Amino acid sequence: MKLKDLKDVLTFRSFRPEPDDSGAPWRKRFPREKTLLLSVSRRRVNWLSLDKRGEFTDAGSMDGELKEVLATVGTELRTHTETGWCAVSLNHRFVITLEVNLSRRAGLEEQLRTNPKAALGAKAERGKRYSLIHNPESNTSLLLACDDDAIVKTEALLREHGLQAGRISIGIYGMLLDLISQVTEARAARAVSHPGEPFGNVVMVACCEGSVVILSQREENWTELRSRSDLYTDDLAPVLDILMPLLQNAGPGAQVVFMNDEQGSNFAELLQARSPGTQLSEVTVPQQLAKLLTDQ
Amino acid sequence: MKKPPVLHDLKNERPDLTPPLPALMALLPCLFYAAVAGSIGLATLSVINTKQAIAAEESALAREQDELAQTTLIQSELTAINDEQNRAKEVRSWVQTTRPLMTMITSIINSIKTGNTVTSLRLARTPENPEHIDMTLLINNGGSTQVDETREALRKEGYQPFREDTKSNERGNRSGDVTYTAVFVETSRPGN
Repeated sequence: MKLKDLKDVLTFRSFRPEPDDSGAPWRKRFPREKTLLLSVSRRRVNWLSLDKRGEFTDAGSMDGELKEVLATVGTELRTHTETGWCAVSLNHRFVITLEVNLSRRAGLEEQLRTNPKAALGAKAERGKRYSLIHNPESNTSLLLACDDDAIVKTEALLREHGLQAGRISIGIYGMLLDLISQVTEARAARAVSHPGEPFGNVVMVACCEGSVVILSQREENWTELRSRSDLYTDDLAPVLDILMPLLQNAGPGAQVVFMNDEQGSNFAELLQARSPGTQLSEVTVPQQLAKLLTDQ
Repeated sequence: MKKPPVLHDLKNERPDLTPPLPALMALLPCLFYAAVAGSIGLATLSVINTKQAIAAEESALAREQDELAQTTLIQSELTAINDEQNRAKEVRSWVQTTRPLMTMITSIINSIKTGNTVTSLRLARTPENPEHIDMTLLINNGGSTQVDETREALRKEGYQPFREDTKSNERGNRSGDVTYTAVFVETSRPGN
């Protein structure tokens, strides 16, 4: 037994998940510890701290690539985290696709991390990392593919400035999963309250720091998906250009469920202008992305 | 579909990642800290008790010193009292040795009847027993009667005889000559 092991037992560190244990919730990894949350886009970096009391503080942002931003404010960012750990939302260099008839054998998720080729077969590309979620009620699946190079470079850049990546996620993919979860719950609740009635078509829209992903759901089936990164800056109008064809395909009466990385967007006004009468449910909560990154 | 409890993670998974120890095992460090706290408490209690014991010992030693000093003082006072008593005894003895014997002599002389004479009267006292008066009395004529008279007279004056001895000194035609020896102790006079 090493001295560090003994120290970890006496400080109760051994009874918590390790800081880079991807299977454990963020709060359990860093209880009562200040950590940094980074949202990295191609030309902009936003940051926020999760303090010891679980409140978000020290918000900031800077235009530029991660490398430039870290060169400028890396020292300051290091002060926003106690032990250097941070969670990163990568908002570019990814693709989300809708797949059909992917294998659902046990242990596939783990295999996807270690050997994507074995898990996905011909769909797997060299130099990509994957994450996958299946629709339990149909044969469709959502597949996230991210450039391995982007993750490696991000980790290296952070390390150069005394920061360690406890989590590197694609924020918009997490938001889409959250949307799907909420829609599924709403559908289940409606099935109880109005048995036999159809739920209708839903178009889920997630926007995060210039990236957008739109998923159409017809009853329990995922039918169409569009995903773009670096589509917009502050104005959400380009999102509507992507959304409108899917909304038309979903047919009249389709409901739009919208989630943004932060509250206060003008999406509702833009949608009403482009498609008057469309039902919109915005489910964005304050500091949506930050809460998602910290498993709240 | 339920939202996964943990957000996906694409970073490299460390190969030597260890799962957390069971929460129940957290009792061990808790017990360790409790033992440390208990030890500190007991040590503190022990130090406090030791200090109190040392203070009590010092107090007892101080009291013992006081008592010893008082004992020494009392002993020196007792010695002084004894010395004083001894001196008083010596003075008393001296006073008794110097007590005048005139009343005894007067009583003896007054007890002698007409016609009888005292040939010799010797009164002696020793420093060892100053209250004892050795008397040797030679009487012409009177014999034992005169001795009785003299003894009675002395008894009335408060002198009690013991170790008496009366010897007859009859020689030639002279009868009634006696030598009376006795030791007298002065007692209180009858009626006093």
